[in-house]
Amino acid sequence: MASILGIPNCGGVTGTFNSGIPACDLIRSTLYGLIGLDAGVGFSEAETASDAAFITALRTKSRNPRGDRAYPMFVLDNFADITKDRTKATTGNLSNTEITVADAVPGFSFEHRVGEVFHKQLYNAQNAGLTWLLVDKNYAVYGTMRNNEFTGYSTSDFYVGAPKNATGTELAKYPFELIFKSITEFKENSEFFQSSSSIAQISGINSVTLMKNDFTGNVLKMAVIGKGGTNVVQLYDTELSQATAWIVKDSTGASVTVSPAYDSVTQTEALTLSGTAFTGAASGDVFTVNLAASSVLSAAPINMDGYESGGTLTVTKP
Amino acid sequence: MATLIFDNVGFDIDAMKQMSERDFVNTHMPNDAIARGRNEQDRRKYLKSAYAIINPLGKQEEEIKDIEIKDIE
Repeated sequence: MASILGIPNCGGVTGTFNSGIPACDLIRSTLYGLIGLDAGVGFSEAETASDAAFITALRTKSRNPRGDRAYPMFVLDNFADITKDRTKATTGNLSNTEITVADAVPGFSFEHRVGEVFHKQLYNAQNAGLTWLLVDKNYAVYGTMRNNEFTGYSTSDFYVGAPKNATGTELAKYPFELIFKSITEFKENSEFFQSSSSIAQISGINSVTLMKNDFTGNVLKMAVIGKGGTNVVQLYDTELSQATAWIVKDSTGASVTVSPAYDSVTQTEALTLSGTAFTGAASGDVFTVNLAASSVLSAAPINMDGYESGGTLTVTKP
Repeated sequence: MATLIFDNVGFDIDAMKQMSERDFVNTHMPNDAIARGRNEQDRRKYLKSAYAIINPLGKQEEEIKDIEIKDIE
């Protein structure tokens, strides 16, 4: 094969352009959802082999530990393209022809109407270093290729605007903007995946906070408070009564045996603590309490999908 | 770790079958959420029946699999 070393692409045999109309093509529709991805998270060739494979992979990644997680959001209420015009310059002082010197990197503004609590959560995404997949109304997912994986576009700015109160004529607004970083990601290396409405059924994770209600003898009563203040114990009493839903450890990391029971009076999970890690401890010794990882909570036998503890709670043996 | 859900209480089977019936009952009696509203005698009876379900699981390996698949998993 002849080398093309030293030969520029001036069309002809070195060109790649053709003008045939594909038998099947895709027209972009209005944006409908966003999927944030932790840095380095992508979809392999096997995970994009079919819609079912993609949906399964996305569902799994949405419950993965932080750092390896996907964050689906199908809550968009308004969308506008805020991409700037490309920059052009004249070629010289002998003509007025203008050529492009800088592409405009795409940017979008969005609004949601989920509410204050959700909007506050979005602030945490501002400096999270996420990449973003775009999902349109026809459930086509747009992203870019990196290291042979389908992944999100990198961003130069994820800006969450201040919420705006309702007026006599306008509803309240919760704005945020997404400005991408690389034009190459969005043009030459852009890729799409045609998914289905099933993708919109994948929700994000709700963070919950553990609160001690009472600790007497070997019985620790715990409330589990979701964002917005709802005690989710009353919603998931059976699920949280699985022993594998709870992790209690002593200061050395040794596991305490837990028998959780739903307390309908205090609407808490009443954890009976046993095992040598607990019985051998003295009054005043410190223990940590936490829920199992989100992936464990989501799976059988617990089946409490879409929740994650915001962190361990430290309690002292009475 | 397999859990036995017995009347809205989750028992860690592996850990519980290491206990004697007396230890099992005495460990769980202070938890007033277990068998709430019953008198002490009935609560002890309840816990003994829970232990009776857990204990054979530790002794008969073949039955463990059956019960785990049908009732627990």
